[in-house]
Amino acid sequence: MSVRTERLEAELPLVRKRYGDISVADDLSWLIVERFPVPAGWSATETSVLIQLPPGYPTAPPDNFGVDSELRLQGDRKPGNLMDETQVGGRRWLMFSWHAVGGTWRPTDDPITGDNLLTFLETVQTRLAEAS
Amino acid sequence: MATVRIAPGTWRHVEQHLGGGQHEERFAFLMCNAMSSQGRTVLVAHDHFIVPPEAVTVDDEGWEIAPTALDAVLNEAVTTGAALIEIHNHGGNAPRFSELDRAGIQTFAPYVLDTVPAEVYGAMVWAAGTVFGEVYTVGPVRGLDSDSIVGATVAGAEIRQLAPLPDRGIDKAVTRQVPWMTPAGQRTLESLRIGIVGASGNGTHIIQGLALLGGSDYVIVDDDHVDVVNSNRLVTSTPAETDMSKVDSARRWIRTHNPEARVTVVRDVVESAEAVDALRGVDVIFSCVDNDGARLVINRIAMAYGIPLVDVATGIDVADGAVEAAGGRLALISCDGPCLSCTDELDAREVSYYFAGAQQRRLLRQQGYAAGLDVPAPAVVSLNGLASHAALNEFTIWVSGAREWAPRIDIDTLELARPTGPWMAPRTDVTAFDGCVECSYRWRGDSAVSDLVPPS
Repeated sequence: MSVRTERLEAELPLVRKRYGDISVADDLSWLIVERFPVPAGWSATETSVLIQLPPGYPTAPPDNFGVDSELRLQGDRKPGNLMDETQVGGRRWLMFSWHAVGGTWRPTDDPITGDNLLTFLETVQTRLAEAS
Repeated sequence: MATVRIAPGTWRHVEQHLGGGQHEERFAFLMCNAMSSQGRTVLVAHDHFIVPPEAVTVDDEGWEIAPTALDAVLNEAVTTGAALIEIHNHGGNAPRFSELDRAGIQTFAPYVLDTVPAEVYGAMVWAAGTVFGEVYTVGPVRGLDSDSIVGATVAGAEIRQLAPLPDRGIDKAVTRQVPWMTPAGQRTLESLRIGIVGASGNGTHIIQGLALLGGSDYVIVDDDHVDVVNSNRLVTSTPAETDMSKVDSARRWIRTHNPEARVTVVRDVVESAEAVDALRGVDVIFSCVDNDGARLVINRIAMAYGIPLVDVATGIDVADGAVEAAGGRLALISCDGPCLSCTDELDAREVSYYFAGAQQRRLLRQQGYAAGLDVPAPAVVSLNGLASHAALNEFTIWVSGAREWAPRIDIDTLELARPTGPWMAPRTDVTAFDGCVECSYRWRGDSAVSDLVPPS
């Protein structure tokens, strides 16, 4: 088993435990949290969130995230800092530009400590809480 | 032919044990990852099993290890999948197998190969700091095939070649450098299979320097070609070689100085299956790439296969037509030292872009996240030469033991960090990051590299 697979097999149950149902690509290239809680200011109370998992994960952090292509801000406005819609896993996604910057991503060899999928999803929560 | 690389901590314990046997033979087993590289067997010893002296007896037929000790080491090998190398001490200065050794191998090697999952078994003898050995596999008709161990390296505080080449004396061409290298250091350098990834601005300086220092065995990886736009800094290429692959140009140059040099070229990226296969058989890697994505791959290969690494990085930052910074960073990473990830040398943005597929790269460019990553960076031969030869010089110190070598050296040609003028100085605060993910992949072999190699 590759080290990346080992790592993801340790982390995915943590994501499942916190967020419920998840879908994962057979080749572990993406993860979908099916019912991600959405803060106030949006057109829905939950959405699906797509994270693409790079080959060098966890040293290489995930980049960007996607939400249901129909998610809007209240008032039916599109959020800012969006990229083109993209299709992954047979579904269409509204893609947000979102990156770990300058030393803020620091995983450790223990999947539970340091940065991991849960801490990345917490930053997704932070971005959505901006409701902008 | 076969080569062995031994983890420094493992060798420290094993050599101490073997050296303590004044009038007795002492035994140990090296636990190895077994692999092949370009048809050569490579054994990477990451752990060891010391046979307690009380578990060894001697009679007229020679030395014997107690069955309980043998069972313990074989069980370990079965559980972990490790290949075994048995090693014991001899007296004298030139270790060789005795007749009793050879007789014992004929019996023991087939038994081990029948018992453990690994398909290769090794035996070595140690005396006065050097080793002699062979590896064995099951032959086509249930016999025993053997191969000589032609190199056994340990890369910790010093780089040691435990299985030295036959002493052919010092080549007249390098006599002036021997006082610096020391005779042993010179022989060590000449014995190493050296990997160079990137045969461009920094890489060609490294190749040139290694050839002049007496290097004789190379693996060179680059997927690019000699071109007018890089001809200002490829010191081993000529204008007549425009459109030639960089690695072929480098091979030609090496062979003008040493027609007998063994030079393997890989005209592909470092994460290709061919490059990984070739590099896991080298004794040291010089990383001369221009982006941190490739650096991550090289760092991973070094960790996974236990290969010491010298990384050369240079950069010129230009904004609005003005040079804002120009310098470099050298990293020397032993098999037990802080890796590039420990000291935060891998820029997440560059790594992300390197591994992104076409669609993802389009998205990253669209949002401005890839600014500067998809255009050639400024480069000049003088800065490349400064950094590369500083790295080579530090490497010769590592090999010769002239002084303690510096794991990181920073170069600042525009006095940005200190107001005293241009400077080059070792970094003083180089420590491993506790919990480093990349370091945790040390000695993991193929399972640590396979994710970075695209499926063919």
